[in-house]
Amino acid sequence: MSGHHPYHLLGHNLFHLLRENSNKRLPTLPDEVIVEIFSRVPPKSVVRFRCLSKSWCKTLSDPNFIKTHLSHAIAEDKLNIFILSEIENIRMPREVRPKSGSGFCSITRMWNIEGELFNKSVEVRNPFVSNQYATAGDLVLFVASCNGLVCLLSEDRVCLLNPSTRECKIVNFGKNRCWHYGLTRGFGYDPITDNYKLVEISIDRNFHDIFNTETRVYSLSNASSSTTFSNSYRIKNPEDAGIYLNGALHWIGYVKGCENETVIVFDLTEEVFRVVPGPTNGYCYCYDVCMQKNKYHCDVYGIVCVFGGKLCLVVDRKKAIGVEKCLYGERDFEIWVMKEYGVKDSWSKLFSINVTVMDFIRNSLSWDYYQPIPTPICFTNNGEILLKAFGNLVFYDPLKETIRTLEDLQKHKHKIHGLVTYVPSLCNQKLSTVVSLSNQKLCTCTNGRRRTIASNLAITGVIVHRWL
Amino acid sequence: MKDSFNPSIEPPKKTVTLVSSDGYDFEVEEEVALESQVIKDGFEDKAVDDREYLLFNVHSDTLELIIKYCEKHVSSRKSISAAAASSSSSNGEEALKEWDEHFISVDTNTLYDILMAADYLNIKSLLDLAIQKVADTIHGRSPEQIRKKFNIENDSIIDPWASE
Repeated sequence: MSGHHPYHLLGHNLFHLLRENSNKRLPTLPDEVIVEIFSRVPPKSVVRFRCLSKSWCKTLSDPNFIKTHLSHAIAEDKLNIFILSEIENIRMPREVRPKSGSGFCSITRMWNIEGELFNKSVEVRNPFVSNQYATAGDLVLFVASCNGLVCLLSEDRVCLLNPSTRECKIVNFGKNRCWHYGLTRGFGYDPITDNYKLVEISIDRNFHDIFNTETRVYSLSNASSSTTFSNSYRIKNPEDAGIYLNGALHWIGYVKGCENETVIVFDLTEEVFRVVPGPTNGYCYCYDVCMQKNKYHCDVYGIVCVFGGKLCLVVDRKKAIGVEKCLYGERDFEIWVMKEYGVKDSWSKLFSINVTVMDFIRNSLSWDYYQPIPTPICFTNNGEILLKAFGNLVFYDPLKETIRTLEDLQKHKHKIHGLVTYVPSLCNQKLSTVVSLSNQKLCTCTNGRRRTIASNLAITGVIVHRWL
Repeated sequence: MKDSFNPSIEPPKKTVTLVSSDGYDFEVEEEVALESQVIKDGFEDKAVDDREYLLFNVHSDTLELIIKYCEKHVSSRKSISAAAASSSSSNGEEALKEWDEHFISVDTNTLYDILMAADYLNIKSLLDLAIQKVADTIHGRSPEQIRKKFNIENDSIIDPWASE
């Protein structure tokens, strides 16, 4: 690079004029640059900046801005965690206690965990509970997340909750529509119709034909619209929520006429099932076929998840040893990532976790849990991987093969029923019914000053709610 | 194309002259200048001896930084692709990220100058870097502070979080 040369061609006056202009400090940035800046700020700040001015309120609430903000948040891959506790029984005070019954009520509690190292946890009020004490219908049966929205399901209602902005919407399906236990569910976004959908897959109760399943799709912007069709796919673990990626839901399952496990995909736009082949031959569910083909080692597909924005599969690999071929020696959990979505050859192994490490995790936790398969959630800044294992959150160092648990979560001493990660976003899907989700009672909003603010803001369309 | 007829002669390094707002010339290699989308657009139509750009919005102090950034990115892109071709492991991308982080850690005035220049010259990666840096600094600020920072006029909306 050359050094500086005075630019002689410019006249002396012009030279000085330009010099002066460039000396003017802190210029006003163009609006489109400021919009770009705001689209990379956490949702909590954006919501607050909506009160900068009337025009900024409009810009920062615009669906296109929300989409840009979401795409930046997804690219950054910074996740927050939303946790549902196991059902907890709390004693009701005498004045509200019904005459009959035990005097206890059952409630699902929920927490939001955020921060660089997931060290900040805040309890979120159960949105289904209308007064202080819950009824049986307020228990949460299912939780899933997509685009920063958490979908909660109670007996007859669906709640779409954005934990970042604390906006929420409850869709009532009416008392005649009862959500059954034991159904496979998934929640996702259809980018073509700009609509959130809830998918339910039934299981054949008579077990005549395990592939005789029925799929129902509910559109959440229009509660009355649903489609039903039968199909010949079977989900392996009915209690697993479908994993959302690329406008589709993913499960591990079986296709009729094929013996091996595979990844089942449900396209939310076309509402059809597809198959994505796994990295290895999945576990053969039929014992006889397995014996015939002399397949003695087996790779069991543990769980499908999204890791680093890519489809990820955890394979439980057991290697057979001995002549009898029914003794298993080494056992590893292999974490595979599909680098290019839908391309079979792009599966590549990220790392594996030996079963002894998993045993160590199990022993270090105070409770046992049915789900032994580790689910990778994300990388942390110091190269560790956040895993979900045994119903808890664990940090795993793949180089040193060491683990540590998330202390803050242990502090709560609550068993975790459901755990989802979500991208902090501004998505709201016309969340019209806005409720305060703080632990403080709603009556704080009736305070005079707040009411003035509310009426002021109502004009500009700012959604009023209190942060925790 | 012309060079292929005389393979024995080393072709002279093609350069472009960038002129800052305060009248300083900067002679840079062609590929460094082409990092700017504005210069790239219509570059081929310009005569070879007329490759001089008057950048009325970029001060020499800022232009020096911008050129430093572009040179670094051009050279490390070459070394990354070279490492990939010889399939030797390299942490070039990591190192470049670190360099970027160090590069953008400047005072607010300089940051704004870089941001404005990157916007004017349309250098996407630098613009993203600068925007992310500004975004990091404004998180958690009060709306009043933001109004001051971005010269936004307050048309009497009350901050509902002011008491906190």
